[in-house]
Amino acid sequence: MNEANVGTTDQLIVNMGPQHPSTHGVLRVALTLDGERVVSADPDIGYLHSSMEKIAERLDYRQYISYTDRFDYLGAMCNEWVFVRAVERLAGIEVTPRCEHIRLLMAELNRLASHLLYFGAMGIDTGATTVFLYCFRERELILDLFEWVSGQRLLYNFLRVGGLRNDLPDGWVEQCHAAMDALASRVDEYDTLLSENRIFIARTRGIGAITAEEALAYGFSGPCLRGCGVPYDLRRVDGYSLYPELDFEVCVEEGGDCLSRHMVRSRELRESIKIVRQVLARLPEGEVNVPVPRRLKVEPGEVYERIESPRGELGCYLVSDGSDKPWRMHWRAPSFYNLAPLDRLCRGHWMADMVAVIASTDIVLGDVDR
Amino acid sequence: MTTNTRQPQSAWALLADIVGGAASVIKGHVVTLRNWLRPKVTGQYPYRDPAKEWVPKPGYRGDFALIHDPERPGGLRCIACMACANVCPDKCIHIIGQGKGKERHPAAFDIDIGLCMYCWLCVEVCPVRAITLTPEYHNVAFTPQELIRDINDLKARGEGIAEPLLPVPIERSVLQPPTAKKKDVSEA
Amino acid sequence: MPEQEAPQPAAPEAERVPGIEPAFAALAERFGDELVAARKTADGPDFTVAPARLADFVAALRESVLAEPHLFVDACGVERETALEVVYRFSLVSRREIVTVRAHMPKDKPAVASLAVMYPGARWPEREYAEMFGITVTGHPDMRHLLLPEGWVGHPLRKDYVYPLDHPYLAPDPLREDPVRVLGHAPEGEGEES
Repeated sequence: MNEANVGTTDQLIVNMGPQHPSTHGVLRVALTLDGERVVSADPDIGYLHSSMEKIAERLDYRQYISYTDRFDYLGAMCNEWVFVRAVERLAGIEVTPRCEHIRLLMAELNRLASHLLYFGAMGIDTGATTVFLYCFRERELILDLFEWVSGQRLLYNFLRVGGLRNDLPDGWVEQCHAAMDALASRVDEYDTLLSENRIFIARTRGIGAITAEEALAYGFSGPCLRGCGVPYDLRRVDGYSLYPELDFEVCVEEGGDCLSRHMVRSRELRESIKIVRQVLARLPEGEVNVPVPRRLKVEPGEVYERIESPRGELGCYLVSDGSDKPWRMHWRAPSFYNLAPLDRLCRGHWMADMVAVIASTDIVLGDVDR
Repeated sequence: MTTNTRQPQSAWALLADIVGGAASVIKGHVVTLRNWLRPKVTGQYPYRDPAKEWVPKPGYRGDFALIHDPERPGGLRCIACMACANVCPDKCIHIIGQGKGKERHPAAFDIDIGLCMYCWLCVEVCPVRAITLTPEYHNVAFTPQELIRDINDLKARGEGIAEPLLPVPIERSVLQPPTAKKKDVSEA
Repeated sequence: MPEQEAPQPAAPEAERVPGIEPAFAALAERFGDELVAARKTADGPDFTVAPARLADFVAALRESVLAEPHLFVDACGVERETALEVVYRFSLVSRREIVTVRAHMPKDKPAVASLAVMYPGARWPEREYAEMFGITVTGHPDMRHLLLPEGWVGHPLRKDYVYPLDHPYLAPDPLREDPVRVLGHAPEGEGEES
């Protein structure tokens, strides 16, 4: 901060939000400003708090699945997946290979859809409107696939404990191939419009930088952490589901700033397309559901199950007392931990850079507040 | 700290910056131009052209319908067993049953779709597959009262629907196949 | 799905079987009775410590099982039958190993030592479980409410919490409460509500 300014200007507290268009939901940030510089940023969350964890205690496992869609609504398939994985692990249910393939496919398609929305939002927040429209056009291809298979475009309620709502319809695989081909040819265009654009680079390089040690202590995960040079991708670290058998690269960028986080997601788009194509190629035939009692009761016990959602480590902590309802259910929500260091990321930058920082952490406020 | 303030630089670096910046903008415009020549994907809503109306895929989870059965009292398959009302996470289904045994049918069947979250669980638990969600998505209303579907409304919406709507045959979903119908009733 | 070992049977009501596995003898020596349990599970080590020594214990872990680069994963509260519990999780970056640290507290006056100075990521989850379970977190720099409004009475995630249905935020809607009554479908004749 410029020494000469301190004596001449007062610090000003400005409320950004709760309904600011660039806060990706309902987030209020109490900004202390010195001129245009951010002295401190205090995020005030809870506007979208929906008691997800309390609701779980009064619903049985089957009923709760449709609620899991609703906190991180951009990664709904991943939320469902981690929840049914946790229940299945507690109950000792093993799903069929075809079901596992389809679940993984859905999670990767959801990652594509989420990253595409991120691209659009990041573009809009840094002043590039065009890429937003293009990304939404391509995101529509994926949402059409979801709509066809699950009947809804955003809140799927598609996964079941021990299986899926239904199998893939005839012709779905072909349409998925076509969507991937269309998307693969467009990803380079987004990079031309955004990642290689001088204005965009000037607005993101060196902004909101954080070191790897700090990021780990803050609980950063997902593309944000990989942007700090830490190769922490649960798909490789845990190697859950079929990921050990698939060929893909963990995208890591050094730098820890907005541009690094952006580039990680840009590369992950390509990797996810690669994964989807591999899974489509090896999709086995067979049943998708295993028999599960209608009122599923699981053994008393507890489990912490985690997967890599589009936003980072998504954990589901489930404590059962042996009844058909969870005793306690806790979400390790990636956005919650990715938003927490906002003060650390924004301090000393221009106020306008804060918009880029919030966009680059790719938070979903429903996920933050749960 | 001031990371994004332009530092004094040499004339050559400035020139390179200007040329590089202009090149990246021109490259961006080439992409925009290419997309300008591609077919338009957006449409006018409300639809001016019925041919361009968006039709959801079969199995889309929109408004509700009750499936008909002319041989049963009330003309509906529903046996008022309350399975859907009990499983509904939002408790938005309200049924009043009438009659005993095989004659049992709903006298009133109200669904508050303003409360409903379209999770499809009511269809999933129904032992006789009497309820379904339809691709009808024009669910807007001016008052909450209009968002309550009563039995006549639900019956009218079920005209011509034989089985719960799904993108795949029933055998490939969590729904019980039609042959298991009898067994299911006894279980429930 | 790679089958992990079934998780340890840990009934919410029962205290887990206390026991220190030999691998953690050095820690047991240092913390004595305050290290209640130390076990190895399929996911990684699982410790239970006295709540007042939680921060010291994690600091000690940073010289042994958490010596490698690790991620602060999560902190949350759980209400057991006889006690409140807080659960902290850390994850190694290089391989699948989740280090769990728990602390049990009595329900009437729960207090735990904060990790917020060591792990800034713990600030928010500690604020969250403090307001949700009524746990006092000592040594935390900022103990405002996080998700609930300031001045909210009660701790919602406690099992004995009664929802304030007369709260001004929750204006009741008669239509939503009972549409059958509002629409005037009285049970007629032999009809009965089952």
